[in-house]
Amino acid sequence: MKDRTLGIVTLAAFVAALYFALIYAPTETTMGEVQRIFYFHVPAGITSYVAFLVVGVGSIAFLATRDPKWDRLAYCSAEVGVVFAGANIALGMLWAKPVWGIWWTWDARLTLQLLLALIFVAYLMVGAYISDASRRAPIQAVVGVLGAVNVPINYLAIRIWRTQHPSPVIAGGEGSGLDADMGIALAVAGAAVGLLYVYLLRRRLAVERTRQEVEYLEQVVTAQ
Amino acid sequence: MSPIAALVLKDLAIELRRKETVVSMAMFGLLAMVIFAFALQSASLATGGDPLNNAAAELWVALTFAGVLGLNRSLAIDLDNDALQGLLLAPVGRGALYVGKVLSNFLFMLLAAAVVLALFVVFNNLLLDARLLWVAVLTVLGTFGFAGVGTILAMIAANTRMREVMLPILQIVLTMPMIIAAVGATARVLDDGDPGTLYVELVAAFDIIFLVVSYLVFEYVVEE
Repeated sequence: MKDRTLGIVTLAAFVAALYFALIYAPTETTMGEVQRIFYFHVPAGITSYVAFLVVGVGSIAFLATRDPKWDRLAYCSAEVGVVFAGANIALGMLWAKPVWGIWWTWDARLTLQLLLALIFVAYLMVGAYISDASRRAPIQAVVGVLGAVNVPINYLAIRIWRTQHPSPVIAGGEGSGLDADMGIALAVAGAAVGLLYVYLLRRRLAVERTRQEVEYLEQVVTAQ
Repeated sequence: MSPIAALVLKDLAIELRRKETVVSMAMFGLLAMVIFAFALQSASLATGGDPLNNAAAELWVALTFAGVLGLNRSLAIDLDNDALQGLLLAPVGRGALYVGKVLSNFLFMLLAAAVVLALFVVFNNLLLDARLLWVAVLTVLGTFGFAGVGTILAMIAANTRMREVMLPILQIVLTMPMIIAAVGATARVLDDGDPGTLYVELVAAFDIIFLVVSYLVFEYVVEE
Protein backbone atom coordinates (compact mmCIF):
# COMPACT_ATOMS: atom_id res chain seq x y z
CA MET A 1 0.00 0.00 0.00
CA LYS A 2 2.87 2.36 0.81
CA ASP A 3 4.41 1.70 -2.58
CA ARG A 4 1.11 2.58 -4.20
CA THR A 5 0.97 5.96 -2.45
CA LEU A 6 4.57 6.60 -3.46
CA GLY A 7 3.70 5.70 -7.04
CA ILE A 8 0.85 8.18 -7.12
CA VAL A 9 3.03 10.89 -5.59
CA THR A 10 5.72 10.17 -8.19
CA LEU A 11 3.17 10.41 -10.99
CA ALA A 12 1.90 13.72 -9.63
CA ALA A 13 5.47 14.98 -9.32
CA PHE A 14 6.10 14.10 -12.97
CA VAL A 15 2.99 15.98 -14.08
CA ALA A 16 4.23 19.00 -12.12
CA ALA A 17 7.75 18.54 -13.51
CA LEU A 18 6.40 18.49 -17.07
CA TYR A 19 4.54 21.72 -16.40
CA PHE A 20 7.59 23.41 -14.91
CA ALA A 21 10.01 22.12 -17.54
CA LEU A 22 7.84 22.64 -20.62
CA ILE A 23 5.71 25.68 -19.76
CA TYR A 24 6.93 27.50 -16.65
CA ALA A 25 10.66 27.68 -17.46
CA PRO A 26 11.65 30.41 -19.94
CA THR A 27 12.88 29.36 -23.38
CA GLU A 28 16.65 29.35 -23.60
CA THR A 29 17.87 32.08 -25.98
CA THR A 30 20.46 30.27 -28.10
CA MET A 31 19.25 26.67 -28.09
CA GLY A 32 15.51 27.24 -28.03
CA GLU A 33 12.91 24.72 -26.93
CA VAL A 34 15.22 21.70 -27.16
CA GLN A 35 17.13 22.96 -24.13
CA ARG A 36 14.16 21.79 -22.00
CA ILE A 37 15.61 18.28 -22.23
CA PHE A 38 18.08 19.65 -19.66
CA TYR A 39 15.46 19.39 -16.87
CA PHE A 40 15.38 15.61 -17.19
CA HIS A 41 18.82 14.92 -18.61
CA VAL A 42 20.72 16.35 -15.63
CA PRO A 43 18.57 14.76 -12.86
CA ALA A 44 18.81 11.38 -14.63
CA GLY A 45 22.61 11.67 -14.62
CA ILE A 46 22.80 12.72 -10.96
CA THR A 47 20.35 9.97 -9.99
CA SER A 48 22.51 7.38 -11.75
CA TYR A 49 25.48 8.58 -9.67
CA VAL A 50 23.39 8.27 -6.50
CA ALA A 51 22.18 4.80 -7.52
CA PHE A 52 25.76 3.61 -8.12
CA LEU A 53 26.92 5.07 -4.82
CA VAL A 54 24.09 3.13 -3.15
CA VAL A 55 25.52 0.01 -4.83
CA GLY A 56 28.87 0.80 -3.21
CA VAL A 57 27.39 1.48 0.23
CA GLY A 58 25.16 -1.62 0.04
CA SER A 59 28.12 -3.75 -1.06
CA ILE A 60 30.36 -2.56 1.79
CA ALA A 61 27.53 -3.03 4.30
CA PHE A 62 26.93 -6.54 2.99
CA LEU A 63 30.60 -7.51 3.24
CA ALA A 64 30.70 -6.14 6.79
CA THR A 65 27.42 -7.60 8.11
CA ARG A 66 26.58 -10.48 5.70
CA ASP A 67 22.96 -9.41 5.93
CA PRO A 68 21.31 -10.36 2.59
CA LYS A 69 19.17 -7.23 2.63
CA TRP A 70 22.26 -5.13 1.81
CA ASP A 71 23.10 -7.42 -1.10
CA ARG A 72 19.55 -7.01 -2.41
CA LEU A 73 19.77 -3.23 -2.06
CA ALA A 74 23.08 -3.08 -3.98
CA TYR A 75 21.92 -5.44 -6.71
CA CYS A 76 18.55 -3.73 -7.26
CA SER A 77 20.04 -0.24 -7.13
CA ALA A 78 22.53 -1.24 -9.84
CA GLU A 79 19.71 -2.36 -12.13
CA VAL A 80 17.78 0.87 -11.62
CA GLY A 81 20.99 2.91 -11.89
CA VAL A 82 21.82 1.42 -15.28
CA VAL A 83 18.35 2.43 -16.50
CA PHE A 84 18.86 6.01 -15.29
CA ALA A 85 22.37 6.20 -16.78
CA GLY A 86 20.91 4.92 -20.06
CA ALA A 87 18.15 7.54 -19.91
CA ASN A 88 20.75 10.21 -19.16
CA ILE A 89 22.84 9.19 -22.19
CA ALA A 90 19.82 8.81 -24.51
CA LEU A 91 18.39 12.21 -23.51
CA GLY A 92 21.86 13.71 -23.96
CA MET A 93 21.97 12.34 -27.51
CA LEU A 94 18.53 13.77 -28.31
CA TRP A 95 19.78 17.12 -27.09
CA ALA A 96 23.19 16.89 -28.79
CA LYS A 97 21.85 16.14 -32.26
CA PRO A 98 20.03 19.47 -32.82
CA VAL A 99 22.50 21.58 -30.79
CA TRP A 100 25.91 20.09 -31.69
CA GLY A 101 24.81 18.46 -34.92
CA ILE A 102 25.99 15.04 -33.73
CA TRP A 103 24.57 12.24 -31.58
CA TRP A 104 27.80 11.37 -29.89
CA THR A 105 31.36 12.57 -29.41
CA TRP A 106 34.24 10.90 -27.55
CA ASP A 107 34.46 13.74 -25.12
CA ALA A 108 35.72 12.90 -21.60
CA ARG A 109 32.37 13.52 -19.96
CA LEU A 110 30.33 11.40 -22.37
CA THR A 111 32.91 8.64 -22.47
CA LEU A 112 33.18 8.36 -18.68
CA GLN A 113 29.41 8.29 -18.19
CA LEU A 114 29.13 5.53 -20.81
CA LEU A 115 31.91 3.60 -19.06
CA LEU A 116 30.22 4.00 -15.69
CA ALA A 117 27.02 2.49 -17.10
CA LEU A 118 29.04 -0.34 -18.67
CA ILE A 119 30.84 -1.02 -15.37
CA PHE A 120 27.50 -1.72 -13.73
CA VAL A 121 26.28 -3.76 -16.67
CA ALA A 122 29.41 -5.86 -16.09
CA TYR A 123 28.52 -5.96 -12.37
CA LEU A 124 25.09 -7.39 -13.24
CA MET A 125 26.72 -9.88 -15.64
CA VAL A 126 29.04 -11.14 -12.90
CA GLY A 127 26.03 -11.84 -10.71
CA ALA A 128 24.22 -13.62 -13.52
CA TYR A 129 27.18 -15.87 -14.35
CA ILE A 130 27.91 -17.19 -10.87
CA SER A 131 26.09 -20.48 -10.34
CA ASP A 132 26.91 -20.96 -6.66
CA ALA A 133 24.33 -18.84 -4.81
CA SER A 134 26.39 -18.51 -1.62
CA ARG A 135 29.44 -17.27 -3.56
CA ARG A 136 27.49 -14.84 -5.74
CA ALA A 137 26.69 -12.19 -3.15
CA PRO A 138 30.21 -11.55 -1.73
CA ILE A 139 31.88 -11.63 -5.15
CA GLN A 140 29.32 -9.33 -6.67
CA ALA A 141 29.74 -7.02 -3.67
CA VAL A 142 33.48 -6.79 -4.38
CA VAL A 143 32.75 -5.78 -7.98
CA GLY A 144 30.20 -3.30 -6.61
CA VAL A 145 32.86 -1.67 -4.42
CA LEU A 146 35.39 -1.52 -7.28
CA GLY A 147 32.71 -0.04 -9.55
CA ALA A 148 31.40 2.52 -7.08
CA VAL A 149 34.95 3.81 -6.52
CA ASN A 150 34.72 5.06 -10.09
CA VAL A 151 31.84 7.42 -9.31
CA PRO A 152 33.90 10.02 -7.40
CA ILE A 153 36.93 9.40 -9.61
CA ASN A 154 34.91 10.03 -12.75
CA TYR A 155 33.29 13.07 -11.22
CA LEU A 156 36.68 14.56 -10.40
CA ALA A 157 38.26 13.42 -13.66
CA ILE A 158 35.54 15.16 -15.64
CA ARG A 159 36.28 18.42 -13.85
CA ILE A 160 40.01 18.01 -14.28
CA TRP A 161 39.69 17.19 -17.95
CA ARG A 162 37.39 20.11 -18.53
CA THR A 163 39.81 22.61 -17.08
CA GLN A 164 42.60 20.98 -19.06
CA HIS A 165 40.74 21.12 -22.35
CA PRO A 166 37.94 23.69 -22.16
CA SER A 167 35.57 22.39 -24.76
CA PRO A 168 32.74 24.60 -26.01
CA VAL A 169 30.44 21.66 -26.68
CA ILE A 170 29.95 20.83 -23.01
CA ALA A 171 29.43 24.35 -21.71
CA GLY A 172 25.73 24.43 -22.62
CA GLY A 173 23.02 24.68 -19.98
CA GLU A 174 24.37 24.34 -16.50
CA GLY A 175 27.42 25.75 -14.79
CA SER A 176 27.91 29.47 -15.23
CA GLY A 177 24.75 30.64 -13.51
CA LEU A 178 21.18 29.53 -14.11
CA ASP A 179 18.08 31.67 -14.48
CA ALA A 180 16.02 31.58 -11.25
CA ASP A 181 12.92 30.16 -12.99
CA MET A 182 15.06 27.56 -14.71
CA GLY A 183 16.47 26.67 -11.29
CA ILE A 184 12.96 26.09 -9.93
CA ALA A 185 12.04 23.91 -12.91
CA LEU A 186 15.25 21.91 -12.44
CA ALA A 187 14.49 21.43 -8.73
CA VAL A 188 10.94 20.18 -9.45
CA ALA A 189 12.06 17.84 -12.23
CA GLY A 190 14.95 16.67 -10.06
CA ALA A 191 12.56 15.81 -7.23
CA ALA A 192 10.31 13.89 -9.66
CA VAL A 193 13.23 11.89 -11.07
CA GLY A 194 14.53 11.22 -7.56
CA LEU A 195 11.10 9.96 -6.46
CA LEU A 196 10.97 7.73 -9.53
CA TYR A 197 14.31 6.19 -8.49
CA VAL A 198 13.06 5.52 -4.96
CA TYR A 199 9.80 4.08 -6.29
CA LEU A 200 11.47 1.80 -8.85
CA LEU A 201 14.04 0.68 -6.29
CA ARG A 202 11.33 -0.22 -3.75
CA ARG A 203 9.33 -2.14 -6.34
CA ARG A 204 12.43 -3.96 -7.54
CA LEU A 205 13.35 -4.84 -3.94
CA ALA A 206 9.85 -6.22 -3.34
CA VAL A 207 10.14 -8.42 -6.44
CA GLU A 208 13.60 -9.61 -5.35
CA ARG A 209 12.41 -10.44 -1.81
CA THR A 210 9.52 -12.47 -3.22
CA ARG A 211 11.85 -14.25 -5.63
CA GLN A 212 14.23 -15.23 -2.84
CA GLU A 213 11.33 -16.39 -0.69
CA VAL A 214 10.04 -18.60 -3.51
CA GLU A 215 13.55 -19.96 -4.01
CA TYR A 216 13.80 -20.77 -0.31
CA LEU A 217 10.38 -22.46 -0.25
CA GLU A 218 11.34 -24.49 -3.32
CA GLN A 219 14.40 -25.76 -1.50
CA VAL A 220 12.32 -26.65 1.57
CA VAL A 221 9.77 -28.53 -0.55
CA THR A 222 12.34 -30.44 -2.61
CA ALA A 223 14.31 -31.32 0.52
CA GLN A 224 11.32 -33.11 2.03
CA MET B 1 61.88 -15.56 3.45
CA SER B 2 58.74 -13.46 3.52
CA PRO B 3 55.53 -15.02 2.16
CA ILE B 4 55.27 -12.38 -0.54
CA ALA B 5 58.79 -13.11 -1.80
CA ALA B 6 58.04 -16.83 -1.71
CA LEU B 7 54.90 -16.33 -3.81
CA VAL B 8 56.72 -14.22 -6.38
CA LEU B 9 59.61 -16.71 -6.57
CA LYS B 10 57.12 -19.55 -7.05
CA ASP B 11 55.52 -17.82 -10.05
CA LEU B 12 58.96 -16.89 -11.35
CA ALA B 13 60.15 -20.49 -11.10
CA ILE B 14 57.09 -21.73 -12.97
CA GLU B 15 57.59 -19.11 -15.65
CA LEU B 16 61.32 -19.89 -16.02
CA ARG B 17 60.47 -23.54 -16.62
CA ARG B 18 57.48 -23.06 -18.90
CA LYS B 19 58.38 -19.71 -20.55
CA GLU B 20 54.76 -19.39 -21.63
CA THR B 21 53.23 -16.27 -20.07
CA VAL B 22 55.75 -13.59 -21.00
CA VAL B 23 56.38 -14.97 -24.46
CA SER B 24 52.69 -15.26 -25.33
CA MET B 25 51.97 -11.79 -23.90
CA ALA B 26 54.81 -10.17 -25.83
CA MET B 27 53.80 -11.96 -29.02
CA PHE B 28 50.15 -11.01 -28.61
CA GLY B 29 51.03 -7.42 -27.71
CA LEU B 30 53.24 -7.17 -30.77
CA LEU B 31 50.49 -8.54 -33.02
CA ALA B 32 47.90 -6.19 -31.54
CA MET B 33 50.27 -3.29 -32.15
CA VAL B 34 50.91 -4.39 -35.75
CA ILE B 35 47.19 -4.77 -36.47
CA PHE B 36 46.32 -1.40 -35.01
CA ALA B 37 49.33 0.34 -36.57
CA PHE B 38 48.42 -1.17 -39.92
CA ALA B 39 44.73 -0.25 -39.65
CA LEU B 40 45.15 3.21 -38.17
CA GLN B 41 48.16 4.25 -40.21
CA SER B 42 46.56 3.09 -43.45
CA ALA B 43 43.61 5.25 -42.51
CA SER B 44 45.73 8.26 -41.57
CA LEU B 45 47.84 7.93 -44.75
CA ALA B 46 44.61 7.89 -46.75
CA THR B 47 43.37 11.04 -45.03
CA GLY B 48 46.79 12.71 -44.88
CA GLY B 49 47.17 12.72 -41.07
CA ASP B 50 50.41 12.24 -39.19
CA PRO B 51 50.84 8.50 -38.40
CA LEU B 52 52.55 9.43 -35.10
CA ASN B 53 49.19 10.75 -33.87
CA ASN B 54 48.02 7.16 -33.50
CA ALA B 55 51.21 5.81 -31.92
CA ALA B 56 50.08 6.31 -28.32
CA ALA B 57 46.80 4.55 -29.04
CA GLU B 58 48.59 1.59 -30.65
CA LEU B 59 50.92 1.21 -27.68
CA TRP B 60 48.11 1.16 -25.11
CA VAL B 61 45.82 -1.09 -27.08
CA ALA B 62 48.72 -3.54 -27.35
CA LEU B 63 49.53 -3.31 -23.63
CA THR B 64 45.85 -3.69 -22.66
CA PHE B 65 45.25 -6.79 -24.77
CA ALA B 66 48.56 -8.37 -23.81
CA GLY B 67 47.81 -7.65 -20.15
CA VAL B 68 44.41 -9.36 -20.26
CA LEU B 69 45.99 -12.37 -21.93
CA GLY B 70 48.70 -12.52 -19.27
CA LEU B 71 46.17 -12.34 -16.43
CA ASN B 72 44.23 -15.22 -17.95
CA ARG B 73 47.44 -17.27 -18.15
CA SER B 74 48.55 -16.41 -14.65
CA LEU B 75 45.17 -17.45 -13.27
CA ALA B 76 45.18 -20.68 -15.26
CA ILE B 77 48.47 -21.63 -13.57
CA ASP B 78 46.80 -21.28 -10.18
CA LEU B 79 43.63 -23.11 -11.20
CA ASP B 80 45.42 -26.08 -12.82
CA ASN B 81 45.67 -29.00 -10.41
CA ASP B 82 43.78 -26.92 -7.82
CA ALA B 83 47.03 -25.13 -6.94
CA LEU B 84 44.94 -22.24 -5.65
CA GLN B 85 43.47 -24.48 -2.97
CA GLY B 86 47.00 -25.17 -1.78
CA LEU B 87 47.80 -21.48 -1.67
CA LEU B 88 44.65 -20.76 0.31
CA LEU B 89 45.49 -23.53 2.79
CA ALA B 90 49.01 -22.20 3.29
CA PRO B 91 49.50 -20.16 6.48
CA VAL B 92 49.70 -16.92 4.52
CA GLY B 93 47.50 -13.87 4.93
CA ARG B 94 45.09 -13.12 2.12
CA GLY B 95 46.68 -9.68 1.78
CA ALA B 96 50.12 -11.24 1.22
CA LEU B 97 48.59 -13.59 -1.33
CA TYR B 98 47.17 -10.62 -3.21
CA VAL B 99 50.35 -8.56 -3.08
CA GLY B 100 52.48 -11.53 -4.16
CA LYS B 101 50.22 -12.22 -7.10
CA VAL B 102 50.13 -8.54 -8.09
CA LEU B 103 53.93 -8.37 -8.03
CA SER B 104 54.41 -11.44 -10.20
CA ASN B 105 51.72 -10.31 -12.65
CA PHE B 106 53.32 -6.86 -12.72
CA LEU B 107 56.77 -8.37 -13.33
CA PHE B 108 55.59 -10.52 -16.24
CA MET B 109 53.63 -7.66 -17.78
CA LEU B 110 56.67 -5.39 -17.52
CA LEU B 111 58.87 -7.93 -19.30
CA ALA B 112 56.31 -8.24 -22.10
CA ALA B 113 55.84 -4.45 -22.16
CA ALA B 114 59.62 -3.99 -22.55
CA VAL B 115 59.55 -6.08 -25.72
CA VAL B 116 56.49 -4.25 -27.06
CA LEU B 117 58.02 -0.88 -26.15
CA ALA B 118 61.33 -1.66 -27.89
CA LEU B 119 59.51 -2.56 -31.10
CA PHE B 120 57.26 0.47 -30.66
CA VAL B 121 60.34 2.72 -30.68
CA VAL B 122 61.70 1.13 -33.86
CA PHE B 123 58.41 1.02 -35.74
CA ASN B 124 57.64 4.64 -34.98
CA ASN B 125 61.20 5.86 -35.68
CA LEU B 126 61.45 7.49 -32.27
CA LEU B 127 64.68 9.08 -31.13
CA LEU B 128 66.21 7.81 -27.90
CA ASP B 129 65.60 10.97 -25.90
CA ALA B 130 63.81 12.18 -22.77
CA ARG B 131 60.42 11.49 -24.32
CA LEU B 132 61.12 7.78 -24.17
CA LEU B 133 61.89 8.04 -20.49
CA TRP B 134 58.41 9.46 -19.93
CA VAL B 135 56.82 6.77 -22.10
CA ALA B 136 58.65 4.17 -20.00
CA VAL B 137 57.49 5.79 -16.73
CA LEU B 138 53.91 5.85 -17.99
CA THR B 139 54.15 2.24 -19.08
CA VAL B 140 55.37 1.20 -15.62
CA LEU B 141 52.60 3.20 -13.89
CA GLY B 142 49.86 1.98 -16.22
CA THR B 143 51.01 -1.63 -16.04
CA PHE B 144 51.12 -1.49 -12.26
CA GLY B 145 47.52 -0.29 -11.99
CA PHE B 146 46.50 -2.85 -14.59
CA ALA B 147 48.10 -5.67 -12.59
CA GLY B 148 46.71 -4.33 -9.30
CA VAL B 149 43.08 -4.43 -10.31
CA GLY B 150 43.54 -7.29 -12.79
CA THR B 151 44.73 -9.70 -10.11
CA ILE B 152 41.50 -9.41 -8.14
CA LEU B 153 39.35 -9.36 -11.29
CA ALA B 154 40.97 -12.60 -12.47
CA MET B 155 39.94 -14.21 -9.16
CA ILE B 156 36.42 -12.83 -9.56
CA ALA B 157 36.19 -14.09 -13.13
CA ALA B 158 37.40 -17.51 -11.97
CA ASN B 159 34.20 -17.83 -9.93
CA THR B 160 31.92 -17.22 -12.92
CA ARG B 161 30.79 -19.70 -15.54
CA MET B 162 32.36 -17.63 -18.32
CA ARG B 163 35.85 -16.92 -17.03
CA GLU B 164 37.49 -16.20 -20.39
CA VAL B 165 34.77 -13.69 -21.25
CA MET B 166 34.23 -12.02 -17.88
CA LEU B 167 37.90 -11.20 -17.24
CA PRO B 168 38.36 -9.04 -20.36
CA ILE B 169 34.96 -7.40 -19.82
CA LEU B 170 35.64 -6.49 -16.19
CA GLN B 171 39.26 -5.58 -16.82
CA ILE B 172 38.54 -3.30 -19.76
CA VAL B 173 35.61 -1.39 -18.23
CA LEU B 174 37.36 -0.85 -14.90
CA THR B 175 40.78 0.16 -16.25
CA MET B 176 39.52 2.21 -19.17
CA PRO B 177 39.52 5.57 -17.30
CA MET B 178 43.16 4.94 -16.37
CA ILE B 179 44.03 3.87 -19.92
CA ILE B 180 42.40 7.03 -21.28
CA ALA B 181 44.62 9.14 -19.01
CA ALA B 182 47.70 7.09 -19.97
CA VAL B 183 47.00 7.43 -23.70
CA GLY B 184 46.48 11.17 -23.21
CA ALA B 185 49.80 11.52 -21.42
CA THR B 186 51.67 9.35 -23.94
CA ALA B 187 50.24 11.26 -26.88
CA ARG B 188 51.31 14.56 -25.31
CA VAL B 189 54.80 13.27 -24.60
CA LEU B 190 55.25 12.09 -28.18
CA ASP B 191 53.92 15.40 -29.42
CA ASP B 192 55.95 17.94 -27.45
CA GLY B 193 57.84 16.05 -24.75
CA ASP B 194 55.59 17.17 -21.90
CA PRO B 195 53.12 14.58 -20.58
CA GLY B 196 51.20 17.11 -18.52
CA THR B 197 51.61 16.42 -14.79
CA LEU B 198 47.85 16.16 -14.48
CA TYR B 199 47.60 13.07 -16.66
CA VAL B 200 50.53 11.42 -14.91
CA GLU B 201 48.95 12.19 -11.54
CA LEU B 202 45.65 10.69 -12.73
CA VAL B 203 47.35 7.44 -13.72
CA ALA B 204 49.21 7.36 -10.39
CA ALA B 205 45.97 8.10 -8.50
CA PHE B 206 44.23 5.19 -10.23
CA ASP B 207 47.18 2.95 -9.29
CA ILE B 208 46.92 3.81 -5.62
CA ILE B 209 43.12 3.63 -5.42
CA PHE B 210 42.89 0.32 -7.28
CA LEU B 211 45.65 -1.21 -5.20
CA VAL B 212 44.27 -0.12 -1.83
CA VAL B 213 40.64 -1.03 -2.58
CA SER B 214 41.58 -4.38 -4.14
CA TYR B 215 43.85 -5.20 -1.18
CA LEU B 216 41.00 -4.48 1.25
CA VAL B 217 38.38 -6.59 -0.51
CA PHE B 218 40.57 -9.42 -1.82
CA GLU B 219 39.81 -11.75 1.10
CA TYR B 220 36.10 -11.79 0.22
CA VAL B 221 36.86 -13.10 -3.26
CA VAL B 222 38.93 -16.09 -2.19
CA GLU B 223 37.01 -17.14 0.91
CA GLU B 224 35.43 -20.58 0.95
